Amino acid sequence: MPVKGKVFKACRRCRALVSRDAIECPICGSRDFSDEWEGVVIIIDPERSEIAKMLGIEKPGRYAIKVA
Amino acid sequence: MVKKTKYYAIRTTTGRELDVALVMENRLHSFRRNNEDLGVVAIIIPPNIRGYIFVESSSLSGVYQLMSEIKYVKTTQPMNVSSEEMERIVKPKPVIELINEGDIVEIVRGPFRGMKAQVISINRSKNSVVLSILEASFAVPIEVPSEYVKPLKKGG
Repeated sequence: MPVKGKVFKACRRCRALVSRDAIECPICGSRDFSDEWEGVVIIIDPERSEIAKMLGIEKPGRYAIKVA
Repeated sequence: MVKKTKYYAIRTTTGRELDVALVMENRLHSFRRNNEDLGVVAIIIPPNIRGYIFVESSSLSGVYQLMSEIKYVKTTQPMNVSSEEMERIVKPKPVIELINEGDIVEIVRGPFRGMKAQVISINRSKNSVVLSILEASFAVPIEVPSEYVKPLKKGG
């Protein structure tokens, strides 16, 4: 799903979606962000979620599925 | 014992998938603050699928409760999706692994978009393919990134 007028940017290291004015990724601390991302997965409970395990996500939050 | 989760597809207004997901996320957080658990553990908006969002949950009634009265939800009944299907949607195989030399592909990006072409060779290290455009009156091989093509027909 390409989101028009994207409200988030994605961390290139951990794929977390953060607000456009964020300077540092709250998940991994990286400062490398990308506007070229597709798909969203919102993890509520990473311990019970199969999709979180499939994508290697350990912390709850919003993540992009594909980051360029 | 931890209950196994299932995936459900929910139809939404096209282009409003993220809005629906964010409303659901807010609802889930407020339920959690009240120590209520709907069983929903993840919300997924896959790339390339418009008009649907997917919810991973251990309880169908939790999904009903979560999706009720959201403006852009266009369905009353969530559809069950198998985990294999979900894995295929979320982790699509790279195009380069799906095509072989001689296959017919459609170019979906770049200046040759919309044209059909035959794969001449595949460069896996550069993640690109060399194509011969079928509609061209003379054969000019062009090299494009593998994401620019969509497989159409297997070559003989």
